[in-house]
Amino acid sequence: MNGARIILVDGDLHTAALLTAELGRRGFNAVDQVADASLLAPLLAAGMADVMIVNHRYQEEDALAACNLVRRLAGDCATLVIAAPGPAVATVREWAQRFRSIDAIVEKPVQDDRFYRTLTDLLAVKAAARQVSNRTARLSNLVPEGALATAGNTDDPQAELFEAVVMFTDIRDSSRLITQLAPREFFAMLNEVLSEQTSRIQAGQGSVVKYTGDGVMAIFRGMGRSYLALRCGLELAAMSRRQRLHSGVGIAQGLVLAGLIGDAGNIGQRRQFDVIGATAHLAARLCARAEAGQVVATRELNAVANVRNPAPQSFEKVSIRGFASAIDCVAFKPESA
Amino acid sequence: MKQQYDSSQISKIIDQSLIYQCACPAQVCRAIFELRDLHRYQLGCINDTDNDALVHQAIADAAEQSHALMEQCLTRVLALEGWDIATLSMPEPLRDKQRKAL
Repeated sequence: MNGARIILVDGDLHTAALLTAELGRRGFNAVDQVADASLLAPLLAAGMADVMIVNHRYQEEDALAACNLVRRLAGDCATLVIAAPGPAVATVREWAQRFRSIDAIVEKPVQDDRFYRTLTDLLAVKAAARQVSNRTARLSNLVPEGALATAGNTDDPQAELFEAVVMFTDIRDSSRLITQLAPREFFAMLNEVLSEQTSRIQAGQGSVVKYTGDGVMAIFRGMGRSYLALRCGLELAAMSRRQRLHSGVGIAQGLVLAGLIGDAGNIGQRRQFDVIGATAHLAARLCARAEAGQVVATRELNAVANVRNPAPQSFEKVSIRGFASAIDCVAFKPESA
Repeated sequence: MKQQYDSSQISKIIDQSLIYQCACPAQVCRAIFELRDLHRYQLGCINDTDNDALVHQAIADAAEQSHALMEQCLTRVLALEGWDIATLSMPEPLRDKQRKAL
């Protein structure tokens, strides 16, 4: 018994019955037969087809159009066309090359085990592709944004130097709260805060680099990054004031280095994606100085972002190793969101 | 090459012989298409020498004769099996046989 769900497109009731019976004999029992492509959409909308088999007839292009529809509506569904040898199969091959919507072609008459080997192989390939896709989706929740792309870049997977705004958030007084709350309760609250912060950062066109225990490190790239980052930081600070765990936010702009840290040559050794450099260090230090519900940013950043509401307040200069002089800063304390 | 059956007619016979049961006319049809391909290929071959031309002509002639023979065979097989020659439809007893085989 094979659990694969098959859609059979065949306008001839006799041949459709033969194919359905033959598939059943081989253990493929979940077969939905449709006469033509116009009846496909509801089946595809249900989203549960593993493979579509088209019994093509000479000069019948509608059946081939069904393959294009499947590719558009159900990318995970494999397509297999059975065609007569000669000009019919030549047309199908041409269609496959032109539209890339046919995964396999088998010539009629369907004999020996070739058809079933092709069908089984096709299902195995699609199942493997789905598994990889699901795994990547799960992985993308576990690793920082940008890390998958960096790992997949075979040209230069090592590092990238670029201008960015770096933002850190950090929950104030978390050490005390950990001792006062049950671990499970603290983790639930922490995850709720980090999840909300991540959503806001993504909505503000930022990318989360990593969770820093009880905070987030994020970067903003491209045009308008100073404004977008500062506005996002203000939203996080305002949001923080109504949350049970209150955060401070630090923001700085400059050159950063991003890439995979760890031994590139040895598979199995731990590697991690990170963004480092003096700008990242500065943003972390500003975050450490910020009070709960407060944003501390460099004055230089706000000169570009030009945020006037809430009004920027003067903040002490911050001296940091790696910078020639103390850094001029401003602070914002927005109303709670 | 003289053709008694066009591509559409031969494809129609194959389309009805979907599965291995009762697919003997389809096997003949398949051979006819292959002989047509072989003949076409030989006619399109490059003749760098006189000898090349003789080789290609010999194969093309043999393909043409074989093709005529297989077309005659198809006519005979269809008649023996009771196909409707006008519509090239598979006879009901053969369709029954296909159903029963499954």
